[in-house]
Amino acid sequence: MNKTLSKNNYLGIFSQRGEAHLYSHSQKGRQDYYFVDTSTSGFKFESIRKNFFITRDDGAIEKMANCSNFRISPISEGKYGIFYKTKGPKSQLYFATSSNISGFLGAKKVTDFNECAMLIPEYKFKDKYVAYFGESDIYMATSDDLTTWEVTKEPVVGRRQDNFDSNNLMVGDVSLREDGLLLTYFSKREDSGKWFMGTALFDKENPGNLIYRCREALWGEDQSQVEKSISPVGIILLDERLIVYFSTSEGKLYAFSLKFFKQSPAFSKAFPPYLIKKFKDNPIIRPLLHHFWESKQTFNPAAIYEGGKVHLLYRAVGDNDSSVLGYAGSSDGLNIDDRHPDPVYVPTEPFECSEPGQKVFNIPYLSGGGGNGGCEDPKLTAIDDKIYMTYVAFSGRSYPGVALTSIKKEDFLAHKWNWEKPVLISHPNEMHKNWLLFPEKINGKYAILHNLSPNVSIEYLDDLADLDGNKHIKSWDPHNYWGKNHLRHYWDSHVRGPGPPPLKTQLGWLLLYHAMDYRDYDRYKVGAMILDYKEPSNILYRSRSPVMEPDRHYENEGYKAGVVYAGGAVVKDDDLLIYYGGADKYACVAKANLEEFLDEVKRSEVPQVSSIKFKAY
Amino acid sequence: MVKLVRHSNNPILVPNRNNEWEASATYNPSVAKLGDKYFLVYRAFDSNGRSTVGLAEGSSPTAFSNRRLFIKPENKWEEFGCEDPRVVRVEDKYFISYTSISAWPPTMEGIKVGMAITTDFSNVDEKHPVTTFNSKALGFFPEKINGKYAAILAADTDKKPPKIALSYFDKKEDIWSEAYWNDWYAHLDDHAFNIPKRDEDHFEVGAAPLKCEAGWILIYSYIENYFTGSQGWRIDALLLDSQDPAKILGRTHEPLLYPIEDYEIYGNVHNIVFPSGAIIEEGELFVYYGGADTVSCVASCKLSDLVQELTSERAKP
Repeated sequence: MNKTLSKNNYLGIFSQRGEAHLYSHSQKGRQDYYFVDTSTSGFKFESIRKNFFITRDDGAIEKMANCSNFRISPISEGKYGIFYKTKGPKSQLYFATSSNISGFLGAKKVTDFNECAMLIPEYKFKDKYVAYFGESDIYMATSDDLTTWEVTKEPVVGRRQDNFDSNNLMVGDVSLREDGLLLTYFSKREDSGKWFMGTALFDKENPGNLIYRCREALWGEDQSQVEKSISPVGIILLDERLIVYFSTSEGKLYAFSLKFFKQSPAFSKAFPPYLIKKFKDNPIIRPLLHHFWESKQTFNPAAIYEGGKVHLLYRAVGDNDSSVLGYAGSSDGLNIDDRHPDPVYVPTEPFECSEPGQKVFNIPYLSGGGGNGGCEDPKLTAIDDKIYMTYVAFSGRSYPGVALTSIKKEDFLAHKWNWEKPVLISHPNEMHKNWLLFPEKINGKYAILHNLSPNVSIEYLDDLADLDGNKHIKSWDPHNYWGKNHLRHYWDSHVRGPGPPPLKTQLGWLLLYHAMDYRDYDRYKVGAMILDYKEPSNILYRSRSPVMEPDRHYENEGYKAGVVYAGGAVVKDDDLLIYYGGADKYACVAKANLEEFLDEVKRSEVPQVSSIKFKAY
Repeated sequence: MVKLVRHSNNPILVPNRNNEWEASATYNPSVAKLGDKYFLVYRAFDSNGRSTVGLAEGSSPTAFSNRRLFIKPENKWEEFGCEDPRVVRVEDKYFISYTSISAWPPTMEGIKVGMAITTDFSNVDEKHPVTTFNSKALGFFPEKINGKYAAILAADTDKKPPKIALSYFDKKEDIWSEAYWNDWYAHLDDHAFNIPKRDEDHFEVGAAPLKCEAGWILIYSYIENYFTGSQGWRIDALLLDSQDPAKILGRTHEPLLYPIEDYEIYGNVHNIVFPSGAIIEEGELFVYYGGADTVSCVASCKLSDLVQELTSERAKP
C-alpha cells in the first residue's frame, strides 16, 4: 500500500497581517488530511502545519475531497468568514464563520446566489457586509447578517467582447487598499482553454462603483512557464505585491508575484507620448530621385555610436527594385550631416543576388519592396575592434535568410568599406529575418538572438568564425509558425520580431521589438522588453502598451502604411535614440530620456513563476 | 497677425508617474508672481481620473520645479476633485478659483466654482464654495472696477447654450455668498457677455483678465466646430473696456496659437491647446496653456504687438 501522501488538492489561500495561510487536502490511503500551512514570504511554507475542519450547520464534517474555491476573509478581530463550493452537478456555495483560521463551524448553504464568492475583508459599506461573486459575470452582494444577501441587478464587472476576459469570469481575491477595493479575477478562455487574470478597482466609498479596470490581462497562462495545464488556487496581497497561486493536475503548486501599479500601462491608454519624442524634422533620410539606387525607398536604418558620431546604414531601394545599403552620419544623433552618394554595401553572394531577367520566386513574403531581392534590414553591433552586421539576404529565388559580415572599426570610421565576405548563417530554404548579435559576450560566448516568439531563442558561439557558410544556426522557422493559434488579447499578440541589437542598461538588456494586435492588424508597432543580463532568454519586463505607434504622416504615407520599424538604437549622453523606418519608405529618429523610459518599462513586469516549497515531512 | 511663440522649454511640466496624484496629467497651468518668484498652479490628474491642484515655483516665468500637492478635496462641495486653477493677485492676497466637483461620476449640478486664498503659497488660508449652480472657469479681475470686485465666468457650462457672464461684488464676502449667487443666477441673462461667434463654435474663459493701458486683455479659448465634431481648439484674445468689460473693443480674428507641436497633438485628449493663465513681464505677455489635456506649456508675444493688433481697425468685433 502506498504510504506516501497522495497528490494534494489546494483549496484556497488568504493573507492577514503579513502572513499567508494555505488550505489543502491530501489523502493517504483512505485517510484524509486537511492542512493549513503558513508563510511570511508566500513562497516558502515551512512552519508547522495545522489541521483544519469545516462543519455544516447540521453538525456533519465537510468532506474536502468534494470542496473547492475557498475564499477566506478576516471579518473583524478574531472573526473569519469563508465561502466555499462543493463540486459536482449539484455544486453548492456555502458560508461559515470562525474565531480562528482552522475550525469553521455551521456552514450554511448560501441561498441568494451560488457562484464562487469572496467577502471584502474587514470592510463594511453603510453597515452592511459586502461580497463580490460570480462565475460568468461578477456581481456584488450586501448583507446585514451574512445570511441573507441582496444582489445587484447588473454585474459590477462583466465579460468584455474582444478581450482576454470575454469568457467566464471568476472572483479571485478582493483586498482593501488605500486607493480602493482591488478585485482580482480569473477568466478561462473557451478558445485556448487557458486562464488569464485581470483586475478591477472599486471606490471604497461605494463598492458598486467601478473606477478602473485593466485593459489587458495582467497575466496569462501562456506565460505560466509550466508545461502542464493549470487551475487557479487563489490570490493574496502580501507586502504590496499580488501573489497568484495555481496548481497543476499533478498536484504541484506554483506562484508568481506582481507589483500592482495603478499607473501600469495595463490600465492606461498608452505609453506616455511625452516620454518618446519623435524628431520634429523627421524623416531624416528620404529617397533621392537622382540616385538610381535609392530613388524609391530609404528605410529601416541600423545605428552605431562610435567616435562621437552616430552612423546609420539604411536599406535603399532604387530603380531596379533591389535592396542595397546606404550610409548617413549624424554628429548630434538627429540631423544628418553626412550622406554617401553611393551604396556602401551591395549584394555579392548567390544567396542575395537575383539574376537579370529572373522570374521572381512566388513566395508569400512581404519584405517591404525590393522584389528583386538584395541586402535588407541591416543590424550593426560593435565588439572590440570590429563592427558586425547581420542582415536579411534575399535572392528572389528562395526564402530570405540571415547573413553575417563584418568590417574593421577603423575602416568603417574611415569610410573604407572593406567588408568581409558575407556568410549565410540561417538554414537555406527557410525564412529567417531580424537576427541580432549581442554587443558583448554572455558567459564568455558570442550570443545571437534568432527568435522571439514563442520563446526568446539565443545561439551561443565560442567563435563567430565558426559561422563559415556551412554551419547554420537552427531556428524556429517562422514560416511554419505564422497563422497558428495566437493568443489574441495583447497589443503584441502577433510578435513579428526583434528590432535593434540589445542595449545594455541598468535593468538588463533593452530589446525593442515589433508586433501587431489582431484588433488593429494593419499597424506595425514597437514594444520594449528587458532581458535578464546573464540569462537573456528570460524576459523580466515586457511593455504592456506599444512604445511607438505609426501615427505620423511619414509612417502612413509611403510604400506601406502603418509601419514603424526600429532598426537601430543607441544611448547618447542620457538619451535613448531610436532609429526607425516609417511606412517602409523613410528613415526617422525618436528620442527618450533613458532613465525615464526604463522607469516606465519597469511598470510592465513579467512575473517569474516559481514552485512553492513546503517543509519536508 | 500676432502669434504666440512657444517656449523652447515646452512642455514645462509633464506628469510624474511616481506621484500618484499627478501620474496621468499636469495641465491647464496658471501663474502669479510673489517677490521675484513665480508660482504656478496646475491641474493634476491621477490614474483614477481625480483632479487636484499642484503647485510649482520658479525664478523665471518659463521653468518650474519643486512640485507639490497644493489644493485637494477637503469638503463635501469639492469631494471628487479640484480642477483648472486660475490664480490672481487681489490686493495682498492670491485668489485661486477652481472647478469643484461634488458628484461622481460628475453631473451638471456637481460642477461649480470654488475658491482658495493664500497669502504666500506656503498654505491655503481659506477655502470657499463660490457658485451655487453649474459653472466653471472663473477669471477674477486683479483690480476693482468702479469700486467693485469683478469676475468673468462660464455658467450653465454643461447645458445648452452655455453662457459667459460678468459678476460684480460690493464686498469680498459676496464672492462666496449663496444669496448673492442665487440672485445673480436668477438674472443670468442680464450679466451675459457675448463674443460674436458662429453657431457651431464655442468659447470659454481662458486666463483671468490682465490690465493694460488700453483696457482688459482676456486670453480665451475659441473652439471651432465645438458642437459638430472635428473640433479646432485655438487660443484667442479680446480687448475689453477698462470701465465696462462687457464692452468688447477688439478681438483677434486669427488664432494666436493652435495645436501644432507633438505635445499639443498627442496626449490624453488629442489636439487641444487650452489657455488657463497669463502674466505680463517686462512688456512680454506669457500665456500658459494645457497641451493635449496632458502637459503644461508656455508661449509668449510682445504685449505692445498684441495691443496694436487689438486696437487696429480689423480687430473690431
